[in-house]
Amino acid sequence: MSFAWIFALVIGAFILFLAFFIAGKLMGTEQKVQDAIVSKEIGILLSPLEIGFESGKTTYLELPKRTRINAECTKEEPFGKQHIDVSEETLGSWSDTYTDLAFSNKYIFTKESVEGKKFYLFDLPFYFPYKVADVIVITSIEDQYCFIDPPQEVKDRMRNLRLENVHNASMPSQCPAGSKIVCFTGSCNINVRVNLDDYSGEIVKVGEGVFKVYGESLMYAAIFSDRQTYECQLKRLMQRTEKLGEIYNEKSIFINRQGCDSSPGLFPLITLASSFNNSVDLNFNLIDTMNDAKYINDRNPRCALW
Amino acid sequence: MVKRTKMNNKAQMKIQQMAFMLIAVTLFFGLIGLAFVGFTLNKNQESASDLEAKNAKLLVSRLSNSPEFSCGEAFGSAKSNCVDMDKIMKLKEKEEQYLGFWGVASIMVRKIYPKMVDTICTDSNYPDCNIVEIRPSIAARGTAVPSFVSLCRKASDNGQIYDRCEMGLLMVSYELKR
Repeated sequence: MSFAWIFALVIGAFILFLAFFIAGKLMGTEQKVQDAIVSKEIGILLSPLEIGFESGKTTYLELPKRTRINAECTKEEPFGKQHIDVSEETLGSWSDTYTDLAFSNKYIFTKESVEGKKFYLFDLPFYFPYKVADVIVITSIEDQYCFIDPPQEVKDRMRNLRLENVHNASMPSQCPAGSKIVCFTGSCNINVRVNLDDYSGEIVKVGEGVFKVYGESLMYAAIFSDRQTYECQLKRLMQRTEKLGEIYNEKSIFINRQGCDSSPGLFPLITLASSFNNSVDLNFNLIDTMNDAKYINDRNPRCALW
Repeated sequence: MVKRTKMNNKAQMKIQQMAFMLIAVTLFFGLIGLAFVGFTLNKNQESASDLEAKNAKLLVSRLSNSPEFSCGEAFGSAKSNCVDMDKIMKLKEKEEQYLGFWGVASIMVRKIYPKMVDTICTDSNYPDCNIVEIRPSIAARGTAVPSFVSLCRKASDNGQIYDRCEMGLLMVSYELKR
């Protein structure tokens, strides 16, 4: 074989290797770009939910490929961050992505990672005592829940939300196989022990422990999310409670010059919200302090702050 | 001897041809690669700008209902698209805390009726002013998307406190990535 042939073969093989290598890299990059776009789109689509005037509505998210949504929460000051990462399943393997798309004004309660082709998103307002945020709950059609003999309020809410992955039954044996069983009396996977007047109480999950809750939104958030996400998002909600408290406190001083004496004594609430660490701190002391501020604000409707 | 020199010259010629060919092929593919990377970057920048615009459009239609802006029940029953001017005057002072919170370049509230000369609101001239600017981003101001809102505040007349609502625009600016 002549030198020219050997040379052509070696260089040809090198060029082919380079072409395949670059094509592979480009395909990977393009997949990452697509994942980043989907993540950002999801974040943007959540905006109307986060600050909607009407809450308690379900939005469906249907994707062409089986998708994994990783909704990570971080609680740095002042508001923490909601990170959204999306990876798609292609030929049995998940795309490897880390897009680091973060939003400060979203509070997504879900499992650390949810998979499927169809997702249900619903939002409910969180008041403490003023409106703090709309909490967003994401569940996948692949995660089935079965509520055993729920109270009428819960039945009504579930009917309005129209979640196809949540079933009602009168006993566990009637539940679809593999579904997580949610009880309001008795004992099962998820035990809801709340006072339905203000939805304060606790939710006990087998393997995850006790989730302290206050308000309807937190009750559903605790049912559908994992412990780590719940604790982190609750801390973030308290961070926003604190900052909103400061704004209302300064507003009360500001409208004093119009003759409005409307100081609801928000300092204790701001202090407790700023030292909030986890759901154990959602105790009687904090709830009483919050109720005091609400009482003072409601007492003088002409000069109400919120 | 002469034959050997001729053969060497021929081989050298071939190697030179091959080297030039390789350089040409490399340059050709390099240029194609550069064009492709440029096209992809441009497409990604367009996507990023489109997403920013989409975010701003969706945000502006709902921002007035955000807890930091909304009237809540401070002016009677809960109202949609109502901005509490007293509250945003205090929010304006905390814009550093809210840096990046809504993911937009700037937020501006402008009173459009009753008409008055453009005056930026400060603690000293409020409420005799018509513009409140909140900059939750270090980015330069970009394209603005407006939405009509009512601007409410507490006012007093002869010691009587009343709610005063005026017509305004809430404008959200997003940064162009192009």
